[in-house]
Amino acid sequence: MATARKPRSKSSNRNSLVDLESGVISREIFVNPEIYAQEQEQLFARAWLFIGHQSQISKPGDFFVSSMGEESVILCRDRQNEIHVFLNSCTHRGMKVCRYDEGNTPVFSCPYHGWSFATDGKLVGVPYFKDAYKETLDKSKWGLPEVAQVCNYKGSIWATWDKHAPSFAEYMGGFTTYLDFLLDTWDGAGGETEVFGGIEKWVIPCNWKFPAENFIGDRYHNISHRSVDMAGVGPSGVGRRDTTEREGATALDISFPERGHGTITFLRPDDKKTTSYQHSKIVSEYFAHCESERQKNYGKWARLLPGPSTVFPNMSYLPRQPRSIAVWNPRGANSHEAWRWFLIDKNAPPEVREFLRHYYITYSGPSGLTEQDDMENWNYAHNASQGVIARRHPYNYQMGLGFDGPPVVTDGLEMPGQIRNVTDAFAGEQNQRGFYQRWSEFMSAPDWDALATWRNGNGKSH
Amino acid sequence: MAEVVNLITLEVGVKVFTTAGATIEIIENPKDGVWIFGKYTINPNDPSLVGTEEMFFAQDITEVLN
Ligand code: FES
Ligand SMILES: [Fe+2]
Repeated sequence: MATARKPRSKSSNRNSLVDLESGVISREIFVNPEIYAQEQEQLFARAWLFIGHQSQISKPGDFFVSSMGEESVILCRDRQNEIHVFLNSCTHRGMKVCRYDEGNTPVFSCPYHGWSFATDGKLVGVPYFKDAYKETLDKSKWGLPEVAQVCNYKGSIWATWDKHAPSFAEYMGGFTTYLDFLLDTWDGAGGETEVFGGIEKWVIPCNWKFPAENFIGDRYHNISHRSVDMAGVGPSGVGRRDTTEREGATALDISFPERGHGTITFLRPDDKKTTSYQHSKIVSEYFAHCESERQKNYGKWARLLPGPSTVFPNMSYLPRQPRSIAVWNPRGANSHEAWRWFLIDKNAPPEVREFLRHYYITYSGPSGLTEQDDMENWNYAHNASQGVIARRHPYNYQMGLGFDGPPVVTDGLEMPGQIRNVTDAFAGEQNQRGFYQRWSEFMSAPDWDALATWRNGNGKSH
Repeated sequence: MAEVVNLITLEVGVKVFTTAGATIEIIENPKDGVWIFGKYTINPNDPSLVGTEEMFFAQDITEVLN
């Protein structure tokens, strides 16, 4: 239920809910069901959203049931090898036409009355078409609703319902420089990457924005993972990741406030050798080889060690350790369904696969120790923010506001985005402010002409 | 009442009989229990359809022939 303090008009109150000049954000945007409902229309129906990976649908007829905001969608490869994303809801009376998680099929047959849809979405089977409809039903008008645009970017599949949305490339801007580190093979040679194992799916009782803003670059919460660091679940048996490879590196927070994306990145000195994955001989040698190839293939870009990131609005990823993608699917203001994909190079040897399988599930997902720490914070924070008294007190996003970080020396590396050096500060909140700046724009902008702020150069930043 | 045919178990090549009196050979089975893809081998009502392919609805299939 919305409270007496609920916002009345969309734009005026939205600005007062997200005050980036002061660095405060109302709790209403996390807990208010009315705002949540507006997000579905303003944000999830217009943004580019992550759907899945091409390795999940490698053969004609392969499908994977995914989610776009609240909607169930079917990602599938048709018989002509074309990739589609359809609404998973029968055009006759709305039944979910596909209730499997994934598989291969020539048709999606609705279990309710039997309408059947081909893998290109066309309505191909209508029971009693001759007898009951006298062949008057125009099947061409009743296929599965399809997204307006779909894009396969380096194997990752994205879609939007909005035909006026810019291309995926324009939506991302320079952020693909950082996304590439997730999607490329470890050696950066352009080989194939695939989804490893099943997709982990679980419910987290908090608003979807808690994890999205955490992954966009919350270095400040490192303290919550102290117990995991002590347990030493990392790939070399120390900490939760191989942080030795970051020694001497410059810590950068990179924000794209005009687009909403953000990432944590480390820029290491040129000559830095990495020692990582010291788990076992085969694993260490494999990654040492990948690393030396990576340095050859990426050249000076190999100096970047990418970290947690969020592609606006709800896709987050860890590009390196452990290499995975998460989508925070909204399921009401107070809950979301987290889905996690794990990525691996197709040619990784069995020992490496087995080692990574273990590391991935020990770190991430419902069984993951690190993710459990995070979930505990988000669950309790959300729960403690719902009351009428709690809602009177905004959250604080003032870290680093009003002053600049030290200059960034990139030695000719032209890194896109708004870059902030947080090496000495240890943390900052520019990425979160960028995220909520974009969120506010989506919530009030009438259309993509207004949303494409970069086209007229008026994308402002905080 | 005739026995209900379970489409899910039918393999490609199996012939079935329809309510319209036609004989169909299964060419693909999505195994959803609702539809099969088949080809007419006999169709007394419209012999010109013999050899053509179509989707057949479960409730139109009355009997498995082989
Ligand atoms: S709801 Fe799908 S056929 Fe009626
Ligand atoms: Fe965390």
